[in-house]
Amino acid sequence: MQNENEQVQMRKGVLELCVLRILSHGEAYTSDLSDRLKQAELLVVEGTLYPLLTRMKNVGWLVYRWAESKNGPPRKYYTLTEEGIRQLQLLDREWETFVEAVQSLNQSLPPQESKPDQAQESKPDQAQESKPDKP
Amino acid sequence: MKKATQINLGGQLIHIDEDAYVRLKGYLDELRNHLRDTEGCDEILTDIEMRFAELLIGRLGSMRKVVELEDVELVIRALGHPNDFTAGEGTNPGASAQTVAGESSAKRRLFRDDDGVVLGGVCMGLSTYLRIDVAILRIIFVLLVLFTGFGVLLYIILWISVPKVRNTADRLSMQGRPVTFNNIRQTVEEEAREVERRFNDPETRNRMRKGLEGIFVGIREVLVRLARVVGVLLLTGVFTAAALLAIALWSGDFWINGSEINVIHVNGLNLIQCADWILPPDLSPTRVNWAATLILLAPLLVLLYVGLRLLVRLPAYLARGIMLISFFLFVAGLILSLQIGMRMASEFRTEGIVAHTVMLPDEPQKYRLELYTLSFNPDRMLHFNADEEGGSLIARGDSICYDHLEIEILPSADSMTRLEWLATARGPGQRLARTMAERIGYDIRVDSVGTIALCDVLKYPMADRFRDQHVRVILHLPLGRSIYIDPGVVPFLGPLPRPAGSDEQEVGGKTWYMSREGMVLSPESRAHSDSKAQS
Repeated sequence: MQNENEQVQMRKGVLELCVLRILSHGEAYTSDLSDRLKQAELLVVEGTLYPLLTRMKNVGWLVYRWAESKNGPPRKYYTLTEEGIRQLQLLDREWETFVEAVQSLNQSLPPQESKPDQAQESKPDQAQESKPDKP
Repeated sequence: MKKATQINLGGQLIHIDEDAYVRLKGYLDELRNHLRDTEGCDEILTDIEMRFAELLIGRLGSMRKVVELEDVELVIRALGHPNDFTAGEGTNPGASAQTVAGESSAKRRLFRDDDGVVLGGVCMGLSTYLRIDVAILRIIFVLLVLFTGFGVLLYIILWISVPKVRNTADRLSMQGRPVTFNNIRQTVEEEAREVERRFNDPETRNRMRKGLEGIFVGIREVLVRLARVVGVLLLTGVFTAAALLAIALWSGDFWINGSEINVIHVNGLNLIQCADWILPPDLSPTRVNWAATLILLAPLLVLLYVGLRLLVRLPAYLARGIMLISFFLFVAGLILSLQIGMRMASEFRTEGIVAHTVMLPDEPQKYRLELYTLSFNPDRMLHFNADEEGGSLIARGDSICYDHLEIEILPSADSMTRLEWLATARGPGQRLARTMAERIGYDIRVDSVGTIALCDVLKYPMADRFRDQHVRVILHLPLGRSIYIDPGVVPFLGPLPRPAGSDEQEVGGKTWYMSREGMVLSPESRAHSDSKAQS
């Protein structure tokens, strides 16, 4: 269970980056975002997005506009702000160096059974995170 | 068939089954608790509510208009359990601890719910809190009120001590200021929470539902129907009471005297016609009737409303309106009654007495005391039988005849046989009271052989009105004289001045002798009663 929680944590860390990435392709509604993320198996439940989006909006990376919907309540469509785009670039660079570092570490080590409890920090864990997890 | 309600979710009007509603509400409550320390909590909740509404509406089609439990479960599965998406969201390390703390303090609270209230929303609140149908609680309260009186007290205590739902947040999360009777609440809550937790778990819930639904639905149906019956009974009662009230007050069988209600038999007339015999000219009988009607109307209105409420759903403003109207009617009636009461009391403030003396022939050794009946055709008659003093008021032309007499026989201080009669009446002041007393007419016929015939009624002008007019007749009998007392006199006759230690005796139909010690039976009467006793 503890392990599971860590996985959730890791996924959440990456989620921010992913949301910025998706929004960089144009405005999106929450369900669009959740569909994409679910497809990529980065997201299990839609609810996770709401606190995240609100926080990102409050920080100033996102803005939203209201749009009427055919049936149901009006929807919030999110777009990136200038700051959001800068943040995306920043995170992108960080992510790449991250992945590279972990990969080079993995390559330099002889293939062996990993002992997750001992030497591993959160960084290698996060690198593994890009791999699909259980649904 | 299921009971469905309407909710406003994310600005959308949604029809939802009751069990689905309970589940949805539970979910949103839980969510709020998890998010309470998160920045922008309200906004997140609104977003989720809107999305929830959207997903629910998406599940409904033209064929289905009402959201069912299954829909809610599916949407919850899609959105995720609060634990799933809030545990890691907190950026500060204390977040998870806070969440736990938040959870433990997120107890269900008892509120008064003014959505569809009858009185103060106590039953509605309890209904939400205990998850018991409101009709059942109302029946319980009505029964408590009817049979113990404790119900009134309990209701008032709850009304005062339980806070009212102030906003949506209250309604949703059932959180707020703690209730005064903390101890009871905590115990009950611990139980309720445990049950709720298990109840909200979908699997347990489904299993439990299957087994219990049948029983509960059965019981509930019975009780809901019972509520209807009580409602119908109440309404019938209210209408009967209202009809009786109308008949009694406006066409006459009751008279309200202060807090007492005296039953009066009126021969073929209503009370309003007799009111001018009693009420001062500046008090109209209609005013008195209004006072009584207003006072009695208030509780009738409340009962009427409760009865209706048990049968159909009425808006809250109606409850408030009716309570307010009843209250003001009651106060108005009370003020009017007080006014009338004080006015009437002032009319009876002081007593005035006027004494008249009639000299009797001195020759007879034996007198005869009897009553004669004034025979006439009464125009109107009002008969009191509320208390012993009461009698009959009989209207004849411009005067009233009234049979309030008190007759006494006393030893004369001198050797003169005298008859004294004291006319007594009440009035707002000494002078007026005396004037009233002066106008009392009383007829006594005396003949030369010593027969004293007293009239059985006194007379006073109708315009004087009833001011407790009465006549005290005192016969001063010298020593050594006898008097035959006719049985007809006895009802009005006070105790005779008999010697100490003498045994109780029938007074009427006997001759009495005034001795030094007091009145004793004359020898002839004694012989008569002795022979009677022997036979």
